[in-house]
Amino acid sequence: MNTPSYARTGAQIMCEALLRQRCDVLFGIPGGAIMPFYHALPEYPALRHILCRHEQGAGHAAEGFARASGRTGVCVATSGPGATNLVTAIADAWMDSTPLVAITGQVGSTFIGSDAFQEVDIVGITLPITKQSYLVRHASEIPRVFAEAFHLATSGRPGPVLIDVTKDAQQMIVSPSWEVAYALPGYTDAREQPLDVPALDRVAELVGRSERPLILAGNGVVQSAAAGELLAFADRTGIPVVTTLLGLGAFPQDHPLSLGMPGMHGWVHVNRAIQRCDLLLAIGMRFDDRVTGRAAGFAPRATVVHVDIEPAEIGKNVRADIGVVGDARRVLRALHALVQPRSCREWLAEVRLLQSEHEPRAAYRRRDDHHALTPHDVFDALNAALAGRDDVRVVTDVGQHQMWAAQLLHWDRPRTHLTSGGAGTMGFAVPAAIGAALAAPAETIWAIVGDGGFQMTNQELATLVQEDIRNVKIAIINNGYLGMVRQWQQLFGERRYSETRLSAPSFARLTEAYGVRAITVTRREEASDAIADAEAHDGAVLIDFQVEREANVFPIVPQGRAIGEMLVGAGAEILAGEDA
Amino acid sequence: MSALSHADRGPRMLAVMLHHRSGAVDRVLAAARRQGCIVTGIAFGQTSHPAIDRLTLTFIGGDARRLHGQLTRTVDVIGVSDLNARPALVRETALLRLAVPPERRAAADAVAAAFGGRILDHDDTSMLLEISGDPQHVDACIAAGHVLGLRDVTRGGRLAVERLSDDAHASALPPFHHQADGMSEHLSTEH
Repeated sequence: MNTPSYARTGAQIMCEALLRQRCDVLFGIPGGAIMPFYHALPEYPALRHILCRHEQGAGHAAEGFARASGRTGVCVATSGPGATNLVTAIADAWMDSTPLVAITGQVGSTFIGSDAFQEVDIVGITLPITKQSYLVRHASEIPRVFAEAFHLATSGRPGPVLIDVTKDAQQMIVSPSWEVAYALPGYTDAREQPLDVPALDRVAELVGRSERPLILAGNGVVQSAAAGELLAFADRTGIPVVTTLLGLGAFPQDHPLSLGMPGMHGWVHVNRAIQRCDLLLAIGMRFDDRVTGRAAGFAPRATVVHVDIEPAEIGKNVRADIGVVGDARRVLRALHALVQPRSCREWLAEVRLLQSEHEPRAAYRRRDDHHALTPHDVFDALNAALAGRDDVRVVTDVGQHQMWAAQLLHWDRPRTHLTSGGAGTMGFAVPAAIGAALAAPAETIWAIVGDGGFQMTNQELATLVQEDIRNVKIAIINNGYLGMVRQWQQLFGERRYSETRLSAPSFARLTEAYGVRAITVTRREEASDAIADAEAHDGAVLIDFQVEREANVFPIVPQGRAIGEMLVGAGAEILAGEDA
Repeated sequence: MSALSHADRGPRMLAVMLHHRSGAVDRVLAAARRQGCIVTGIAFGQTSHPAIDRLTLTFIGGDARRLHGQLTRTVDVIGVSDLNARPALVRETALLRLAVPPERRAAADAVAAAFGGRILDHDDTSMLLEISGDPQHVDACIAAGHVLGLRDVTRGGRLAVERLSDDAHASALPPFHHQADGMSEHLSTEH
């Protein structure tokens, strides 16, 4: 069983293990306890290392790479603060089920537990936010641990795995054995589990006799590459499709059955459709509270079918009348074979009528006369430049701009909308765009970010320059506030703008100081030209869009309300939920 | 419908079969804490398979149904058995240190005998008593110990197994033979 092989250091074995997992890009920062690994790294030119400026950036870049490519993202940090700086990115990957392998150096094994220099118990710290974690104290463990880590990160419900390798394990010289079996007796890859056929039969029967069915598609459709299956199933049944924030792109938005995004900032007609439907097919989504509003008032008339690869998600937040555990792609294929063609013409017409009554963009009370540039002007210009293209991805950060982008940009293809969903991590966009740029080098990656989030990770501009990454364009929606918090303070907190006004440097001068081209836009007439200019430039570009300062995201479901109860404007009454 | 979904009073019990590796128990306890469960007992040890441990978790409060789900999701968890949902035998062992002056020695011996306890150690003024039985039995013995003069008590945590009549629901282990067992090669024990 043991293949004879020449002896080498643990660090060399780590590099070889990465290559065996088809890893070709990793993001990180060296430091004391990971130095042996970095010493070995130049011997493996097939491993491209991207030197980041902060480990959080390295983690988000690895996430961006994973989300854009569908492969596992890899980030590397040293022990202690290097490792703790990765924690936010690991948590982000945990919340959004992103396949991520985080490799950290650890102090020498004899120092563990002694409060040694740069020693922190990163395995202990990350226990609740990792799918699995390993402390490697001996080089001979590396082949199995790396194989298991990549297997776990990508299989079943994907997620982050931490590998903490002691410095002595990296330095130790052993003859590795690569033919090792996984030691995972408690783990089954749900993708390989047999489907519950009787449950699928019941679902198919419900699809046949429901009058107001609705599909609610999420990240699982993207992750399992089921967009084609979803399209085929929707076409066969005529069932309208709603996509969650992380499901945007899983269903083409210009399709006649596409309704848009539900939830806290979903469109009125979408939330109303959920409240009215009699069959809700939730596929690859986990009923986040930003989708459901008050969960007890969610989809009150519907038989809820919940399809998810994670058994623990079924019935967790919203009751599931039928739970189907399985990969979205396999389930959709199986269902497709079981359902008869039908249409939902009357139901769709009812929803479209609702839509016409609450025309989405009318929800935004534009004050064109008073503001030279609104956020909506920027998104209109971006849409005009980007919609319909198949060589563009958009990474958004967290906050108002994220919701505007989700609402107003045109989403057609999976893995083109990358954002921090569950964790809501400000600072995600710029580093994640770097990762996406490496995953899709022939495409243009637009990072859309607020002035608050940008200031959390903007040091990664130096990474862009040092690594000569040219296909990233950054759009700051700069309103001088932590805008989403300010909006809540305005709408629900008596306009008490507590610590939300945000000063900033000149973003253009800051960006130019990094050696990146910058454009400042203050008027709507300039927006399209600036975007075209950025697209035409062979290199990274940042555009500082200085927008109306107090624009709000509407509609909004106030906290604690059912999703039918929506506020569509600052002065407006809360729409009465039909089922509240 | 699992008994976990009922708002039962009293402690809940889960038997969790774990891969024997560092951090596995930590993950179980972290999941319990996160779901707001207050752990009142842990009994833990190796099963007939050297790479698999069984942890009997007793807790009050929290969201037991979600805890069950999150444990099922944990890579190192091989199986979870809800011991409130089916007939189970619950046992506990406690060690009681009693202050027993010579004039009360006879009374202490009588209490030990009445509860089927074993006197593990004694000197002129004290006695170490081992008591085993269902938790109510242990509680009653401790109450009697208070009357006698209880110095301290060490409880081992509740241990529970499904009744034999419920074998179909008992957590199944992968087969293990001490010689040349393929499974054991696959199951490393990491420390």
